[in-house]
Amino acid sequence: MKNNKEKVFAIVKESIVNSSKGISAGEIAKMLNMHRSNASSLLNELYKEGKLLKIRGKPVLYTLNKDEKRGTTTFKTTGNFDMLIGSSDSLKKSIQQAKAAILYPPNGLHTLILGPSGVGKTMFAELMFNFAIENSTFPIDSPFIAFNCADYANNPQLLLTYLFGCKKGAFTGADKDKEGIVAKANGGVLFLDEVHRLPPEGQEMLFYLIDKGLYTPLGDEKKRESKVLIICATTEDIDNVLLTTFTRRIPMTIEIPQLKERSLEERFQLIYEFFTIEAGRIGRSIQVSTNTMRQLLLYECSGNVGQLKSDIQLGCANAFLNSVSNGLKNIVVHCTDFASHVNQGLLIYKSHRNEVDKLIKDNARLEFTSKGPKSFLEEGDYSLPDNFYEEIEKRMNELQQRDLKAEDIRLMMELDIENYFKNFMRSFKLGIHKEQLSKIVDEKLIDIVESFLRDASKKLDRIFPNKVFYGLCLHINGSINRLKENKDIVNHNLENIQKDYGKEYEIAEELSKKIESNYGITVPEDEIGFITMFLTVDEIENKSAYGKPIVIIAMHGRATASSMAEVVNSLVGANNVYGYDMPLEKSTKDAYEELKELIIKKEQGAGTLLLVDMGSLGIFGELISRDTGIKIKSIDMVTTPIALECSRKAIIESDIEKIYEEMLKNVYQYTSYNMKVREHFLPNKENIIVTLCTTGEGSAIKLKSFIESKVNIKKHNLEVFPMSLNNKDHMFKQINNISKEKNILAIVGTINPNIYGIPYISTYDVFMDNDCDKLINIIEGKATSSSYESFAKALEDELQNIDLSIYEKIYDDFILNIERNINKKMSQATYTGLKVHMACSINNLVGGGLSPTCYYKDLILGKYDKEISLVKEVIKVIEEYYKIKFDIDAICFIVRNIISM
Amino acid sequence: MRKIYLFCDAGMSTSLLVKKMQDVAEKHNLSVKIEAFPFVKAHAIITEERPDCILLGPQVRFLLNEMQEKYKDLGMPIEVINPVDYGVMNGENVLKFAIKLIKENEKNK
Repeated sequence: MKNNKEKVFAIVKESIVNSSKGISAGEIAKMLNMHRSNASSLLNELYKEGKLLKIRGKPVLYTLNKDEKRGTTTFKTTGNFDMLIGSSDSLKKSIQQAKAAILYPPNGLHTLILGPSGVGKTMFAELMFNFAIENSTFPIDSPFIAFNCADYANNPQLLLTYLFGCKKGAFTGADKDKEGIVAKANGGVLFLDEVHRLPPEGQEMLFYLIDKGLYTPLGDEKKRESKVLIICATTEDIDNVLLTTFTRRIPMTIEIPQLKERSLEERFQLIYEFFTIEAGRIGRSIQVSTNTMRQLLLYECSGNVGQLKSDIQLGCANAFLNSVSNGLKNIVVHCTDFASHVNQGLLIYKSHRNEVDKLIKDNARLEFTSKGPKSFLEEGDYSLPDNFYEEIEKRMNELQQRDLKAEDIRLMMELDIENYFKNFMRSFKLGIHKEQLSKIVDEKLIDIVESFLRDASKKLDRIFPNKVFYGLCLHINGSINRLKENKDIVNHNLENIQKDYGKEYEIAEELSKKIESNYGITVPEDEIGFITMFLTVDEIENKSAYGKPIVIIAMHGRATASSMAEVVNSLVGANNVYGYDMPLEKSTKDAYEELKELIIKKEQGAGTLLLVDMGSLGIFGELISRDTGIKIKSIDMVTTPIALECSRKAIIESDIEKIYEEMLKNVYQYTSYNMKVREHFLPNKENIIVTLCTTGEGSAIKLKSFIESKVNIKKHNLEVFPMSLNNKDHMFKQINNISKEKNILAIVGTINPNIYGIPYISTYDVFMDNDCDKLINIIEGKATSSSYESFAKALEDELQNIDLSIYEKIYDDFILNIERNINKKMSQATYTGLKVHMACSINNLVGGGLSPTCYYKDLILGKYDKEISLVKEVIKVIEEYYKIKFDIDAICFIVRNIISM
Repeated sequence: MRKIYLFCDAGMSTSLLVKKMQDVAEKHNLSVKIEAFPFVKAHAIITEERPDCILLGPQVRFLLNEMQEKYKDLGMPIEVINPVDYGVMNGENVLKFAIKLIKENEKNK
């Protein structure tokens, strides 16, 4: 039973036999007895699948696509320009030209398509023809004749005969009249591929056809008429291989970009498309590994789209074979299924991480069906540390089974280990509760890790995000179990780790010793390598997130800077130079803001080299750096060679300090005109309060001045350092840098960056709390929580049994006591929530009421006995003061809040 | 009539806030039903009454992720009350917050 769509398709197919006009939706609807709009939407679907062509006009008529007419069964055909990948991007210009050529009255312009092999010239010509039909440049039944001039290239006679036809007896073997393809193409399109293989005589004969619309078959005297639109294509440089008299007659030249000129995004879409086609061909879904996608995106594909397509085909074929011969249900394409030149792509992955990772999310294994791709996350729950190893082991086995060279396995495992690690760390992004942690990890271990991190923090002068703590606890917990079971731990990255992070490795060894003595096991070097990775987590995560420095040229004058930037960009080709023009009449203030905006916009997280000419521009760098926290190095003697050098260096070197120093050495040797350039963007004072804002604009600075107005800066030798949170990794690195030399007391901002060991105060709190008590307390070393003046007022009506201002003091003491005992700071939320809760509770008890039942009692009793007895102990003060007794339910409520913090 | 339900462990402290919020709602003639419950009843109440907005007391913030995940399909906003507003029992702010959540949620539908 055919569905409606198939019926519609069948009717269109029949219609071309009987009429040459195409068929409208209305006619089809009548024939199938369906609603016109239904027919129309089905036709549209078929059109989108590339099966039909749509001829503009009233009514719109539909006819078969050429491919379908020929009966070639492709699974998905590209029927028109708009369906082409890159139609609005890299191919936009080519398509516009093609459309212009076709629409030019009366019968279109002859066109020459240029481009190396495999870019899709033939397909492009076909699409031009389809476009011509759709726009009624040609009638529906007009011919499209394609001919590859290379076919008979070694026999010019035969080639010309084939093209123009011949008369019986024109030469030996010409035993009958023969029609050439020029005649066959009459009224349509003649597509000549590899036109450079056409001998000069042939080219001359084509001129005549182009000029007069006439041609002479071989051996004939009579000229014949043929009206054809010629589209030719060549891979060669036209000036060398074609007669100028020929090229002059072809008014339109369309160049199709090579694959490497097209964006990675488009290549990505192409890969998608080809896998989808293969899935349709095989008739099963295909799963594609991440590394496969990576290498396909990056390898040198000199044969362009065509080669990409056949390489993918080959890979799928291998995977198919593998799945058939091993009786596997799924077809899984691994990077090893591809030819070795494709594998080269993986080798350069490290240097193209940024762009590639934007397109391919880690671990997103893709699945393709004939209907298109769907992506899914690779199975495996990274929240449990055991899998960390299991995944690695699984992967190892998989690779070994494929008989790969040890060297290749190593390379792939290196990449994979970093990925597993990044994923592992990512799972902590949402945060984890200590409560949950202590369920899995035993407390002794938590203590060990805590003191180790504190130690490491000091020794490395580095701060660690909370996730390092959690991650490390869970990871070591898993390792210990593994080691106890005598399972192997293998770290393929060990060598690199030892080489790159020697210091961290040494420190990690200390932890391993502690674990060895505490748990009676031997910790292998490989495991120490993993621990080291936790200590270097910023660097590992940053490696991918980090951009390169950029160069900004800022000069007086209307276009001086931008034209210099243009020159540098076109010479170096790195496009990392931006110009800022400051017309003389522009006010310094405006210029400052504009330049700042430009830097914030363009900055990639690795800093900015600012090249300036004179005047106020010279100090902007320093000011902007202070405002935004972006690392900026100013060089105040800007010439084109210097800008060239900076641009070149910024591609290779990501450390802006190094570039700057080298530039100074090279350039400043002979200059005396040396303005003071900020050496470090580090603040001067010993104690630092960091203000953070997400927008990267004014609010961190506003916060700074607010804090400065409230806090005695001199007394505390304090500096408030504003910072933007535009780029989280950048911010971590910066805080890291500061903490190496300075003492960060607190972070104030809109978002809690969750940094281990540095207290955070929200902006809201700072503004709400008029005297900045909380902040001042932290500064003075007595970190207590603030009190809200209006707390007592807000609740005095509701809670009349107790004096709330006294309660507040009692409560603060209580919390302080708890915090001291569990050695942890309570979050603002818990602090406030519990404050209201306990006020109610006490008010209730004082009034003679009972505590509500705590339904979580069973969960808490027996598990948190330590906390329960602590709360019972500390709460005695309150009990005595109010002459009440907290029953076990009330205690459990409090404990539940405390353990969750 | 929109339903805004507040949850905390005991349902005690949030009920104070409810009163403040109701005062504001009455003053502005808003047709909302605001109620507080202990967390233990959350599941039954949420699945039966399908409130338009769920707010959690800040002290039970640790339940947020779990709740959002669990009731994702019911499509109601679930958030934690700002601790500052909670501490001073600012019913107006919390009510505004809840209304904003409801509006945003409905716009997204």
